[in-house]
This record gives sequence, C-alpha cells and structure tokens, in this order.
Amino acid sequence: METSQNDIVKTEKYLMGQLPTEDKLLFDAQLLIDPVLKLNTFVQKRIYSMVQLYGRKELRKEITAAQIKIFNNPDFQERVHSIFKTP
Amino acid sequence: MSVAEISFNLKDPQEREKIFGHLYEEVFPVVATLIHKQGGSLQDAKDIFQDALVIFYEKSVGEMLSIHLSDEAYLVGIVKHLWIRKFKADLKLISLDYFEKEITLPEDVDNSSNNRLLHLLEVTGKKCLELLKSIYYDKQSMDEVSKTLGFSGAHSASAQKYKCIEKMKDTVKQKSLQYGDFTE
Repeated sequence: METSQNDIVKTEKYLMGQLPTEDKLLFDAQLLIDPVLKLNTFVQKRIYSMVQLYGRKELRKEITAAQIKIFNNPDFQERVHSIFKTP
Repeated sequence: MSVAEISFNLKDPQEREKIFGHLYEEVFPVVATLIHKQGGSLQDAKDIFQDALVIFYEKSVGEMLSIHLSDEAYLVGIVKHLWIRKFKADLKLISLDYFEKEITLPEDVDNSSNNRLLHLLEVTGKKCLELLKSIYYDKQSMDEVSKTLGFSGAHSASAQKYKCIEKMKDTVKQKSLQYGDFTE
C-alpha cells in the first residue's frame, strides 16, 4: 500500500507539473520503457478528468437551480424579457 | 461584494447559492443586453452565462482571478470571450478592453451528461468522487475537506484520498478495457 501510495503521489506531481525538471525527465524516460507505469499514469490522468467532469456536473446543477429560482421571480423575468423585446 | 470575498465564500455550498443568485440578479441583465445586441437569443444568454459561471468558479477557487477586475466585469469579460469562441464573432463587433483581453478560457467547458465512465464511477463510488471533487475541483484544503465531509482530521482525509484513487484506478482499468478506451 505504501509503495502504491508513493507511486500515486509521484504520478500526481508529474501530471500536475509539480516535479522538478530532473525528476520529470526521469519520469518521461521511465514512461517510455515501463508499460505498467504508462498504464497507471494514463489511468490516473483519466481519474482527474473524471473528477473535473463530475465537479462541473455538480456545479451546473447548482447554477441551474439558481437560474430557475431567479427566473421564477416575475420582476426579474419581466426585466430580462424586456431586453429581448427592444429592437 | 468584492472578488476576494467571492473567492473565499464560493467554497461553501450555501454561500455559493447566494452568490450565484446575486450574480444572476446583477450581471445576467448586463449579459442579456450584450448578447441581444449581438443578435443572440435569451437561450443563448442563459447557456453562455452558465458556462461563464463555471469558468468563473474554477478560476475563483483556483485563485487565478485577475485582481484588476470586479466580479461583474470579470464575468462579462468571460461571456464576451465565450461569445467570440462560440459564434466566431468578429472582434471588431465585440470590443474587449485591456483587462478583458487578459482573460483566458479553458479549452472546453465540457458537459458530462453522456459519459459512461463517469456514470459508472458515480454508481460504484459516489463518496470517493465527492472526496476527490472537494480536493481537486473545489480546491479545498485537507482541513476544509475533513470538516465538510466529516473526517476525524486532515491525515484521515488524506489517507482516504489515496485509497479512493487506488479504488478508482482499478475500476477505470477494468471498465476502460471493456469499453476499449485505451487506444493511446
């Protein structure tokens, strides 16, 4: 578990661009010769993109709720509709 | 409400609800007027404003907001950029001031509605997704995460983070192979 955690930490730093140049170059070289590391790095990258996708999805729910709420206000609705009535 | 206050409060879901309400009330009419003048519809304005709020949020929690702009001006600037990108609008017709030109957008503000892998992760590990979202998307500190998600402390939240990544790696490997996603 410890080794695996260390790998995750290092891969995370690599993916987030936080490795010092020398370590980054070494990691790049290892990726070329180690298919397991390559797969793990690819998978970890996908996890971060899934988390971002999930974050956006949840945020959009909140934004949509705020939009519905404000558009339920007749004064606001009228104010916005009047904008689109003007030529 | 200053940008600094917004950046700070946006991490709190209840405060966020108020801030989004405030931004709709104050900034949406400005954006609607802008979009209308560009020949867009109310629906265009709603869609673009939603994307703009997503970007605004991500930049706020990532502390990448320009300090030269108010929250309103910044949102309007994002909307202008989104409009130019979406409709390939002529830069001569939509003016960007000096500070607005400095605004950069992420490559996309993708929609997750049809993502099979995300759907699977939501079904098999919602709690892990919530934890990782708090850390990587909402950019909460481990102390904030442990408070909001009820861990005994930052260390415990951090340990769970690695367990979650490990678990999700297994799921992604298994299912992506099935989906034939490893084509890189």
